[in-house]
Amino acid sequence: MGPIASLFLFTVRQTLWQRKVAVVYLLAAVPCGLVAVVRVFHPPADYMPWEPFQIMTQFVLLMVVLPLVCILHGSALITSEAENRTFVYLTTRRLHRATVLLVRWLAVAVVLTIVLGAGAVGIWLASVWGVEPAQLVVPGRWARIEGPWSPGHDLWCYLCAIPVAVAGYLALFTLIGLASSRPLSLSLSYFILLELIVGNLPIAARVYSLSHPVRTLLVRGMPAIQRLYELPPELAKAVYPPDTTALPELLGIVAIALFLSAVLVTVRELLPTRLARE
Amino acid sequence: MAAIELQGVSKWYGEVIGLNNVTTTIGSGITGLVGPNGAGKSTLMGLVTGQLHLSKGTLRVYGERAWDNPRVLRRLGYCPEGDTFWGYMSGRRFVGLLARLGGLTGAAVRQAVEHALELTGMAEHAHRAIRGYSKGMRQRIKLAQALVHRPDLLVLDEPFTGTDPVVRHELSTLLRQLANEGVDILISSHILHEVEALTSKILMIHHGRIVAEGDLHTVRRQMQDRPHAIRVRTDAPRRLAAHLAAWAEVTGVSVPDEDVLIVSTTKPEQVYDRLPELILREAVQVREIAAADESLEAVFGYLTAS
Repeated sequence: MGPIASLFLFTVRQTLWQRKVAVVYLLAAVPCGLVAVVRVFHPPADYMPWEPFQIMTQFVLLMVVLPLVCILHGSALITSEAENRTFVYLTTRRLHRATVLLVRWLAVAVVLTIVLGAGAVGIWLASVWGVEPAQLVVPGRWARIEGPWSPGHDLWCYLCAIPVAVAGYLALFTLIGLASSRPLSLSLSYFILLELIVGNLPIAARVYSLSHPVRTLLVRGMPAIQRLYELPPELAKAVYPPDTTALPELLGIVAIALFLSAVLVTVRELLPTRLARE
Repeated sequence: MAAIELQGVSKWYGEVIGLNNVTTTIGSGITGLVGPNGAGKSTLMGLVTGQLHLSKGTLRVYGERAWDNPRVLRRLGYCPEGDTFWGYMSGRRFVGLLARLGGLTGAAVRQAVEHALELTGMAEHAHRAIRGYSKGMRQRIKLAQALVHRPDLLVLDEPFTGTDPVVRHELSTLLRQLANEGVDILISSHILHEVEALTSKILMIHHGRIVAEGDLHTVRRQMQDRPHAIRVRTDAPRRLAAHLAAWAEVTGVSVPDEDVLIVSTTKPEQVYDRLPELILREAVQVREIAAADESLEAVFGYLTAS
């Protein structure tokens, strides 16, 4: 096993060992638990699984839990090692600093994708487990979707969107972690302002949030979910034009954020100054 | 080729100077880097191991820049000063990980890890989590990770800190053995007599400047402004003192103990030449004639005081 593979596996194990990953598990399980609560208290005869599944997977797991866990891990991807003074072991071996960054980013992205993917599967199971086929036909009364629904297809769309979203958010928050001396507060401010508020307002500016390309991907796979956004028809057409995936934009954001992070990790000492001076 | 070459190297932390226009060459064998806290020792080591950027000057390790340079880093083993570990790991996994990051693969990893653990005396404790190690064990496991990939240059920042005399002796023996095998070693320490026991090649650093370098005894002899002290253990110190006080090359005599005479001189060679004749003439018993202030501690004290 070469140094890159060793660093990758080390980071995967390290991510799974960290205390904060328990928070990730807990957050990923929250929407699943909420669906279970809905099912317990909802009369079984009236229960329609489409809405709880979509709302919990998209609005809770993908748009809230996922960015939060990416903030938790991205802002500390390198700086936690620097603060613990263990970064010195990774950078006095035969790997470039940028390689250390990219390998660690990839390893954390894989772990988060698996955990959040499991969360999506959990929501799916909690939503559709034991549901009669007749209940999978969504009636028109919610004016959002009507007709037969294929839960498997929607789960697949989310499982495809999760790694893309993790890649984007993790790269962005890794960059903030390296560029700022207060990464956590800056990342949270960005998340609340741009992702939670602007990204959900019925205005054209929502396209500037990172959740927009993720949603565009989802809309491409599941056109019916547009109705959940409750956008005016003109705006919906402008924001989610037909036959666009926004994948190149998202990958571009990932590439730029990782490139800038690699530059920062290469030029910055990342050693607490008080230590360097004895 | 010299292991490390510094040419006009300076390092600032904002307005504070870490290293100030340092020019020196660190060659083969063991070189001791000594200086008080804040002198710039760790800054120098940080620059050599590519942890810190130079503010000015050039620094070459085996002819190449150190910063983010895997060609240099693969030849380097670094033992940092602080207690910096992934504490949940066992010693064996810690050394194994760093062996693999150092480029070892397959069976060579296990072989190198066991060899490094044996050398540092950590084999029987290597299965335990590092967070449960004593200070001495932590120092030894850090040394094990530094040498596991068989580097050409070992940079050891205060490796004796917190260790008991037995461990210090064992580590010193190991370092001498490695130096004999051709490994270049740069070692910093506050425990001056340990460095002195390891090597006579010394780099003294104070306020970010190299205040002296080279062979310890040569350094001492070059300090013309400081009289040398010669200690004579004899049964008649006062009788000898009376004669020595009249010598032109002797600047002072003192009898600090019943059987000890300290002779201060600016020309120690002449005193050493003439002393045997005086001892024979006076028929006194002499048990020892030795330099009283050529120890690293004494020299360092003179240099930092001035």
